Amino acid sequence: MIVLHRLVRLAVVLLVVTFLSYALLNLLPGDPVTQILGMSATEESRAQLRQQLGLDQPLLVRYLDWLGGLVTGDFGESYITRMSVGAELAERLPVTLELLVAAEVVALGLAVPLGMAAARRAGQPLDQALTALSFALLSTPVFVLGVLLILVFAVTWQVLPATGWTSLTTDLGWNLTSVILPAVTLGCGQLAVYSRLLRTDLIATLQEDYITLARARGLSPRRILWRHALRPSAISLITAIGLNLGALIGGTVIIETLFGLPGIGRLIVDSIFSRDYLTVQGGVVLISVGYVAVNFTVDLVYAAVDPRIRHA
Amino acid sequence: MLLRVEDLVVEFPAGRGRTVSAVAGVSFDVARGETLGIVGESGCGKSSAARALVQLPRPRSGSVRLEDQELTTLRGEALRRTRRRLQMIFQDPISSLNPRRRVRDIVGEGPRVWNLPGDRVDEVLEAVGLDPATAAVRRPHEFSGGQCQRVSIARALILEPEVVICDEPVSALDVSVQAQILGLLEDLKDRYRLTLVFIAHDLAVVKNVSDRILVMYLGKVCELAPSAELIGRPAHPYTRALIASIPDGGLDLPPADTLISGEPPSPVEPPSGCRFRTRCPRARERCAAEEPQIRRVGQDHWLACHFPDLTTTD
Repeated sequence: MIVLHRLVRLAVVLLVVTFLSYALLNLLPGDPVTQILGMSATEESRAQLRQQLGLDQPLLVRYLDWLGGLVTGDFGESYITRMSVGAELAERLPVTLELLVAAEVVALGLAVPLGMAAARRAGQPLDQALTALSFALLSTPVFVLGVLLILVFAVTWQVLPATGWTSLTTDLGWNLTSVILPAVTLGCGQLAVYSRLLRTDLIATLQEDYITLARARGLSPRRILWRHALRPSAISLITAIGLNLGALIGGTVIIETLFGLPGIGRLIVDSIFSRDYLTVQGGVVLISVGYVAVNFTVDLVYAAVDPRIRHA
Repeated sequence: MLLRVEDLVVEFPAGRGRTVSAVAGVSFDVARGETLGIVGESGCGKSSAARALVQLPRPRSGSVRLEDQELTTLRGEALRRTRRRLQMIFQDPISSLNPRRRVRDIVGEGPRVWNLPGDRVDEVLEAVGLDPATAAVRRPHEFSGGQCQRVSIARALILEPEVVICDEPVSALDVSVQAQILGLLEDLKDRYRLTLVFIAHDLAVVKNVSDRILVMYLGKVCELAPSAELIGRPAHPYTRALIASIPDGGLDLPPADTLISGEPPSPVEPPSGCRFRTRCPRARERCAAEEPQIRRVGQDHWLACHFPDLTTTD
């Protein structure tokens, strides 16, 4: 029942988002024809190519045509490269997903212990130091951090590659070394947000009666933090993770460009510049599906974290 | 004496360098098997004193001794090891329980952490009047306030404590349920040979369960006496005002509103001398100048007042 409900919602989101992006792209000056033939092409050859590509049709007709293909799983083919958009996306998606997962692992792996350490000693020197560090990380643009890391790990110490990508199936070891720097760069900004959120919620939870009573029963501070305080304090954190994951599916352009990763973000930006409408549309579909899927998962996780939500 | 409290002081920062004087030099002791009631208005420092007994948080100064063990100087693991002997029950039965755990985990966690032998969860749930078969797998939000309080009691009881500190254990409950929980605490006290410190703002609740009663006002002890003595021969003007506010209090006292006036002053800047003097109909100059020391006025009857009323008879 709930899955059906979600699917209907997904369909509505997809319709609205894809139509708007289709219309917006067409408002941009220039079109694929100029990209392919160049500025000096005659009006005749331009009209011919336009007809060949189906671009002489009205906007709505082209959109519905594309939508019809999408329903059967056909993303269409690129105006520029004449390659299947679906195949292109399938090739790029794993790169972005791996980057995302690795960045979240880095961010959460550090944010949870750091947030706990800060909350336990709220207002004390360690907490203040972590606060300062968080704001430093938050206010450092991601490309600055990336360049710094490249400088240290790739140029000075030469332990990690500065750019390039080896896919997971080609060589696991090389794949992991090529994902470390981008993942750490991307993860650091989120680490700051996550540890702040967790710290704030934990401080509130630690004032609850049942925490005082747990201490009165002689439970160790570690056990109280992990077993009693973490889950009730995780709701904001989970919300933030969900929003981040959704945003980052297409929003890692800077990282992908800096580290030379063939991900979705770069594909979309490149396609916008070349007015490769259908490739952009494919990316938009992917991001929308990702958003809805992530939000659905987040709702499921809420229920696991707080059993009462099921009854609400 | 099982529990001996001397000159307990609890203060909290109130911002801008000021402090809230929550408990200002309170002393009392509790014999094994006794129930000591502590009464006073909201904000008089009863709960702060209760929490200071279990060092959550630690008092600013003073001494808390459990048998021969001084608790205020214990640190870390040594303190943790004594915690089992002193358990607490709080006012709000809902927020006292982790909403995400099932009753079996809530009650059973303590003995697991302490490696107590055997699984006594069912036995203890039965002792507090819950059916283990149906209650153990539920979560707190599926219970009423009274039932939640029973779970809290079971959770404290399973650790086989010597002293149970009940901080307003029935104030959040319906009147009909209050009587049940009070009866339950009485039964359990006998059955498990408990010593109780029973805190409430309502003297009517405290007088029936307590052997002795301690009256607190704004962080200070006003009067301490056996229940019948305190109710029958209240000497402190504040105690008299509290008794006069109980409907059918048994004494022929003037109406409560002639015995006490106004609101309690701020504990950030307590009045000089006697802290009750700003609301006391008997207050004179001496009360502002000199703080009344606690003194003995009868068999086991202690009082801190310059001008007490020692005339009341049964």
